[in-house]
Parts: sequence; structure tokens; C-alpha cells
Amino acid sequence: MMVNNAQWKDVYVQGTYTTKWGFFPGVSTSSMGAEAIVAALKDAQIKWGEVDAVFAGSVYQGTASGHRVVGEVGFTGIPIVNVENACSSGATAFRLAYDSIRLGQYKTVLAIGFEKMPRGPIPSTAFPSWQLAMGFNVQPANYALETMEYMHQYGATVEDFARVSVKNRRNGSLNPNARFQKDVTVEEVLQSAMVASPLRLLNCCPLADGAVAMILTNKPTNDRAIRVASSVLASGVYGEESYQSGITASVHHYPSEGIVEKSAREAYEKAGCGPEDIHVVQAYDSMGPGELWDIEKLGFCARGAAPELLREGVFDLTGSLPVNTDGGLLSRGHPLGATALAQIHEIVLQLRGEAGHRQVSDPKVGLAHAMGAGPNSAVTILQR
Amino acid sequence: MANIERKAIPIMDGLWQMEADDNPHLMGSRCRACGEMFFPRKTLNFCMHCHKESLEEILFSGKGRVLMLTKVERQPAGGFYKGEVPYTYGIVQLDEGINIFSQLVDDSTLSADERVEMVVVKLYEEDEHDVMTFKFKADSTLREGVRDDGE
Ligand SMILES: [Zn+2]
Repeated sequence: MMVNNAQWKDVYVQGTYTTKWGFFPGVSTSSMGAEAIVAALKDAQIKWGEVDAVFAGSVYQGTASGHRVVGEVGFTGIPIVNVENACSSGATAFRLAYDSIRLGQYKTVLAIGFEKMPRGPIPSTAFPSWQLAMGFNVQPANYALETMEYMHQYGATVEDFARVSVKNRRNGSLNPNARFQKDVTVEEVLQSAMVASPLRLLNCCPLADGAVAMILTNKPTNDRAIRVASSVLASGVYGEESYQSGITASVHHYPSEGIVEKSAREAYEKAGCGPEDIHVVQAYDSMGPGELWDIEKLGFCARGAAPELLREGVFDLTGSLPVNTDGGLLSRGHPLGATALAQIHEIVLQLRGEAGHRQVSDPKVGLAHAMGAGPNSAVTILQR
Repeated sequence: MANIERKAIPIMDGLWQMEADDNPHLMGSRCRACGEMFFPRKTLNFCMHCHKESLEEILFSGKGRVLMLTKVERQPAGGFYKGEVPYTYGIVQLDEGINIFSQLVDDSTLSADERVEMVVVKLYEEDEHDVMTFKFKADSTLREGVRDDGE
């Protein structure tokens, strides 16, 4: 049961920093994370001793990985909570930081996400062992099934999916921290190696190493602070077994609301706004087609309408609803534990007007959405 | 030389069983209260849909329809999968009314919406064992004339 409480504090992002994203063989996860913390403190103009607690998101870094990162900066006796929630780990750390301030437990909290990725497609313990043994854990293959369902229902084409990669790689070319900073064409996407039909290599996000740190507070001390309007996590809806789209396990008992729709509805309710009030979006594009149905499920247009809006340029940097302005997962890369915080980082930069060559025109409200195995769906709305 | 008979072992116990009709059937659970079905069968007697302790074991007919399918061109990560690559993978809607993931026996003519039936085939060899799995293949009773050499 959700209740409103006048005692709840406003929460702001006071400082944020992302490392460059790519492969850094000689650099440890803890030094990447520590670099992000020190730079985020500088951005926030606060001292390390002012931080009351740490929520640390990662997936493949093992036991007490957040402690190793914080240990590089120096222990100060504050609580460190390690958070593993698959691709939503960073957003979950953010949400815990947000709640702890909102409920009056702490004044200033660090949310951090960091990852050095294993190479090749991602081995997942989110599947039972017999499914791993039967080859059911290939994410591009599972997305391929969802993609075919989407094509079947709404008439979307492989060219539509290629256009998502083209747009995001174009945005990524303007992001000095992205793993890929080079344009691609529709033809290049359609000629790239087949991974699981109809998905090709350039429909899939690349892996990367990276770290993002963010300082949240209820007492912002400069005018660059961005207010967190809401932060919502939904984990699993009965019957929605295959979390990317509408293929449910049960034929007789469909879920009344999908996990993305549920998390979006709650985020809009808590923020007191609707999709029509959002000016800039980071959607979940681990696979290009996913961005299209994500935009639809977040309520920005009707189901099946996103491909046409994409063709019209609505989601471009100069469009009326820019999506994945930093290049998204498709350009930036996907260090699992850091990804969702990188999405929030980009919204903060856009709302501050600090996004450089990819700055969109005067946005006041932005939304970041992360999905993850489990399943999880995390929606964060930020407001200038 | 003694003829060493290779032993066939299932990839996991309790996924299917052979019946008197000599056909394999997937094993599942059904809720007596709400009718919901589950695959694989639930060892815990608790319906995930209506939350009642009213599950019973059932055998699925082994017939259904493939909803969509893809060909996996790359070795799955993690070293868990020891079968052949590429392989065909998809979602099968069983006639009883649930959707399950499965590998598919594909002679490159299998298509979405086609009727399929369950088979038990070798996934890989390990030591002296053949490790067996269930898959679905085009329903042979409907596809006269299409060569069926399975695995
Ligand atoms: Zn039930």
C-alpha cells in the first residue's frame, strides 16, 4: 500500500560522474569505481566525510565488491550495501539511496555502479541449470523470439530495428565516453553477422567496462542539483515469464499489467506527471528492437507506433522526444552493474544543460528506464 | 571385444516420462483450484497463480504449435551448453495451453505456426553416456513426404 507522507524529504542528485566505457585490461574494477567516486564528490562540491552511506551495484564482481571500491577511497565507518539486481543493479542502488534520504535516514548518500565484464555473450545465473544446459540462456535469442512476436503483431521490419542502431550510434558519436563513437548505416547493420535471426551483431549492445558514481542529498548546495521526482523498481509480474514482451507462460491467465507498464505507471503517479510531460528519455536498448517496444510500454505512444515515429525523427536529438541521447547501450556499451546509473547520469547532464554536442533543447523533465534479468524494471524520473 | 552399450541419461530427471503408448510425455503440474498449469512440474505444492496448495501432477500430450523460432548461431556463454551449434530454439504452445521454451528439430523447413510433437533425442555425449533432451519437431502425421532424419 502506497501512502503519501508530508515528512518525506525531497531528494536531489548533487553530483555525478561516469568513467569512459570500453575495455581497460590493466585497470581494476576498484580503481575505476574509486575514480568515479572522487570525481563525483568534486562535481557535487562535497567532502568524502560528508557521505553517510553507500549503495554499490555490480553483478560479476563477487563478494563485498563495493567495499573494495570504497576501500580505495578510504573507509570512514559508514554502511556499505552491495546490490546485485542484474542489469537493474545501478538503478536499484539509486533507488535504495533515494529512499534512505527520502525517509529521513541519511542526508547525503553515494550510489555507485561498476563492472568489468566477462568477455563474450553474458553467462547468466538467472536461468535454472537445466535451461543453461539446454542453451536457453542466449539473450539475443530470447530477444529474437520477442522481436518476431513484435514484427508479427505490428508489422515492424528489420529496417526499423536497424534505424534504432543508426540513431543511437549517431548519438554515441557525440559522446566522448561511449565505447563506440562511430556512425553506422542501415546497410551496415543489415549486413553485420547474424547472431540469432533476425538479430544481427549491430542490433546488439556491446559489452564494456565502466563505473558511474552519484551523490544524492536532501540539502542541495548548488543550483546544478536535479530533483528526483520518483524512483520505482518492479520485480516480476505473475505469468509474464518472458520479460521483454507479451509472450506469457500461461495461456489461460495473462498478467493484467506487464512489468514495464507497472513500473512506469507507479513512477508517473509518484512524480505527479505523465508521459506527455517528459522531454528526454533513456530507454532500455540492450537489443535495438527493445527500444521500440520500451518507448511504447512507457506510454509515449500507442503499441506498434514507435517504428513510424522513429522514421519521422521524433526520437532524434532534434526531435520532440529525444531517446538515448548518449548513444544508449548500443553505443555506450553494457557494463551490467553500471548501465542503469549511466542512464540516470545522462538525464542529469541533459537537465543541467551540460551534455555538450548532444545537448537537447531545454529539457525540464527526463526519464530513465532499465530492464534486467530476474525480471526487473526500474523507472527513474528527474526534474530540473 | 565386448559390446559396451551406451547408457542414455536425461539432462534432468523429472522433465518427461515414457508412457505405455511408448511415447514420451512432458511432466507438469496443474492446479485443481484455478486450472493453471506449470512446466516443469512443481515439487512444492503451491500454486504460483492462486497461491493454494492444490497442485497435481499431469502429463502433457506432447503435441502443440510452434509460435516462433530462431536459429542460435553462436556458442552460448558460460560453458553450460554442450550440444551442437547452431541450433534452433523457440516457443511451443502445448495443446493444453501453456507456452514453453524448447529446442526444435529443424530441417530448415520448420516455420512459425506449424504443428509440432515432442521427441527425446541426444543433446551431447559425455564419457560413456548419451545425454538426452526433449525437443519438438514437425508433427510427422501431418508432414508425409518430408524426410524425417531427426538427429
Ligand atoms: Zn491455482
